Amino acid sequence: MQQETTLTKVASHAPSVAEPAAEHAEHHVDHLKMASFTYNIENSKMAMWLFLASEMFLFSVLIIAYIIARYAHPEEHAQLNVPLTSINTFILLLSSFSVVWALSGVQMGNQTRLLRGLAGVIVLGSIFFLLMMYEYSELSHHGITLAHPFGMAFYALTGLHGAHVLIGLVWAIYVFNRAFNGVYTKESYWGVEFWGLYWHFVDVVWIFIFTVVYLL
Amino acid sequence: MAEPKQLTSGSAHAEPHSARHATPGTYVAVLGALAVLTLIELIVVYLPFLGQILLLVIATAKAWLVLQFYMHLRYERKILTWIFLMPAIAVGILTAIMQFFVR
Repeated sequence: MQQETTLTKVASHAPSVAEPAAEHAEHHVDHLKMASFTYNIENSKMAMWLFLASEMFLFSVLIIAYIIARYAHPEEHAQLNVPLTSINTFILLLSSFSVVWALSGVQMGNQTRLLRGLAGVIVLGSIFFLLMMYEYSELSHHGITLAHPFGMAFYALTGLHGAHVLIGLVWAIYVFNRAFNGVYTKESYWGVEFWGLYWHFVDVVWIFIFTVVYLL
Repeated sequence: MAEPKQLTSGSAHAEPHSARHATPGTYVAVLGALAVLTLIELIVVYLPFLGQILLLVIATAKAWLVLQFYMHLRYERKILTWIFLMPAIAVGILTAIMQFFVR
């Protein structure tokens, strides 16, 4: 904000000097404004990655806790539904592709591709979440509940991931609404990019959850 | 509410689009690689030896592909990669240290 105030002052003084000098001043102000936008976007991007890093801490610790519980209770682990989760993994990978498809759409100024990509994520993410709920109900019928040490480690890890998917879905609907209203353009799309980073992060975490929880 | 104008990462000068991000063709190729690696994982589960190590290597490769191409870390400053990897490295070291106290 401080920088923007200074810029306004420079701009207001520009007409009082000679014409070439005024042009130079205007060019300088434009350059400063551009640098200011770059600075803001770079800061926001850095903040987003710091947030994702903090999430990495959380999930890493929960994955380690799960590994300890899993080797202590191998019989419960055998009840996990690997075929269903494999389908869910393909669905989530496809949703990540849908994100970059939407992003490349807005980068090329293709609004239809942007909207289709976002709609694809909402549909695929919802299917993932519903299948996860079905898996939970199936497991609870087999006696794997929060009261069991294995269940506690399993639900803490996969449940937190599911909560992230849900938040990502709500965020996706918000982004879709803004895209539908034409907020994002070829020159301005960081709202899509930052939400995309979050969704891909959820995918990266799932890649490890699928391997560590279901396959190992 | 309009968004601020998007500019090239780390520079006020515009660069060609392909220099900053992967192309749609790359995105499709990465999706294919992710699908194939997942199928390989489902086969590796039944291997009698080295299965667990191979599974972890494949999972890391899949995550790396997403980070590099879908999250564009390949086209960003290296500091962002380190920021993201540091927590996993720290938890790995802490877990290794913990083993000495547990045993």
